[in-house]
Amino acid sequence: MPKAYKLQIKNNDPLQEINEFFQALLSEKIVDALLLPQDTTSHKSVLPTLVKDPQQITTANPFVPFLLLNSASLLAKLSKGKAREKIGAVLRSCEIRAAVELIKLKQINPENLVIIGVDCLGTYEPSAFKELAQNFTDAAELTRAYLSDTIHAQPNQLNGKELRLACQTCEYPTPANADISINFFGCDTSREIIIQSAEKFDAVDWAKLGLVPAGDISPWKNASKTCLDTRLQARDKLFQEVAQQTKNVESFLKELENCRHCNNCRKECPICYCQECIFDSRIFEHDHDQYINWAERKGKIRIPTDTLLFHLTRMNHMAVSCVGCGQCTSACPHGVPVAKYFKTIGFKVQQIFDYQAGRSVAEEVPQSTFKEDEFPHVGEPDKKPH
Amino acid sequence: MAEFEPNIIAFVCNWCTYEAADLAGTSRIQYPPNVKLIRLMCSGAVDPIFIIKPLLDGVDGVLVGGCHPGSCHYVSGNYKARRRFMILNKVLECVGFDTRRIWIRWIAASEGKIFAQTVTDMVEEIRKLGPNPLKQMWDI
Repeated sequence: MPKAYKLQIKNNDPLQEINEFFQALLSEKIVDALLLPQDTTSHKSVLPTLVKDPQQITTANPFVPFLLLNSASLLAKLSKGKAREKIGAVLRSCEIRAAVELIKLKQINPENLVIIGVDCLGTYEPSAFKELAQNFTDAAELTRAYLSDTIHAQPNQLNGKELRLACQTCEYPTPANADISINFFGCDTSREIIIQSAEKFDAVDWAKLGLVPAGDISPWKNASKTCLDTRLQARDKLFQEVAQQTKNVESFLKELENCRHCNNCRKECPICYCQECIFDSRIFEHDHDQYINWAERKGKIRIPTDTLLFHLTRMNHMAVSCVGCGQCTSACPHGVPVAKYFKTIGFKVQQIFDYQAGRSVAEEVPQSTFKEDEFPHVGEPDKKPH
Repeated sequence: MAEFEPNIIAFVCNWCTYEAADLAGTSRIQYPPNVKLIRLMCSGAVDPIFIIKPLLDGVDGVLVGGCHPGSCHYVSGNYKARRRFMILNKVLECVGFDTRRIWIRWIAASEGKIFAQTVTDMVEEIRKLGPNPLKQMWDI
């Protein structure tokens, strides 16, 4: 069972207090390095930093409603070579779940990795966040405004801007599989934040870091439940909407029509891990004659070719591990709603195998395992064709 | 107008289904010539892209042939093919694609007759479905 503590907020500023907490994690040698989001130089945005020196933690902001990228892919970068130092990674639920998938896909070395999870009320599209940031002196002020109703775990809709669809429909607002979790749902963040630590940190003297036993954390649990219920409703609505839009291939193609095959969605996908993707290979470089032949056969063709092939292949390869972080949609320069389909189709594909991407390191990725007696109807000629 | 003749691509494994096709041939068993065989070492080597690409290019049906469960030359290739087939079917079904055009069958090396019968059945089923509508679509 995780142990729950409280981090008391003194100056009415949770960000300052959490900054000091991260400094203490380093100076007390609970971790050797920290991967955590901090302000950019302009203070108008927040990006992941890798920190060794506690004094360099100056603007930690794990609560900002902005996700520049899914940091699970950064952990994969940090996994080359021997894991000499113990890295604490401050991650949201979608990043943790992506990391769990990448551990199973042998892309992240879990040895010496400490996952520090945070509650997440959702994030804005990069363009919306950039616009919003203009109205605030810095990202910290924006974050404080955003967190004004943490007691009910409701995001403050700043200037009426909508959160990313992936966040509105996210089923995992609180972090699971974290070694240390930072929870603020149900808390008055001007007074306190809950910190929970897994068993492997039972020996740590958390009082040294300013934590006191939390006692009853049912307000956090209740607020998390309320938040989850709202999102599940939004998710089910999304599933229905997608079912309407994918009644036939034509209507699905309409959704993809602005795809210009830049492959950004694939590059931003934390799970899509192949070093050499088939879509970057020379297989898709064709002779002049080949294009002309295709155009001749149909009268006209869409070019670049293979748009639908790209998305369907990626879905076949990755939907089973899709954690629904929505970075594919955020990365699209032309607003193709990739994530909406990945989330919906991923959900259905994962259901086949009673699998949930990111749920547990112990469950194998469906494509890499099998059961002898499953799907007996597949491939048997006495049954009707599918 | 000439009658519609289905165009079918079959990915067959070296050890069972290809052998079955070979046996059908050497046994002089007649089956429709609509199927083009592509031999792979194992049904587990069939990436979904191999199936999707020809379908989007207008082929009328794709058949995957492998060893019976439990008798894969590589122990578990066909079990993995079976899982991939489940995923492929679900993904294509979710985007409104007619998955009746994709067949997977376990046909052992000794089952030349069954191979010929499978191809015959598939050609008839696909004939009923008509030409693949994607053949005419320019914007895929």
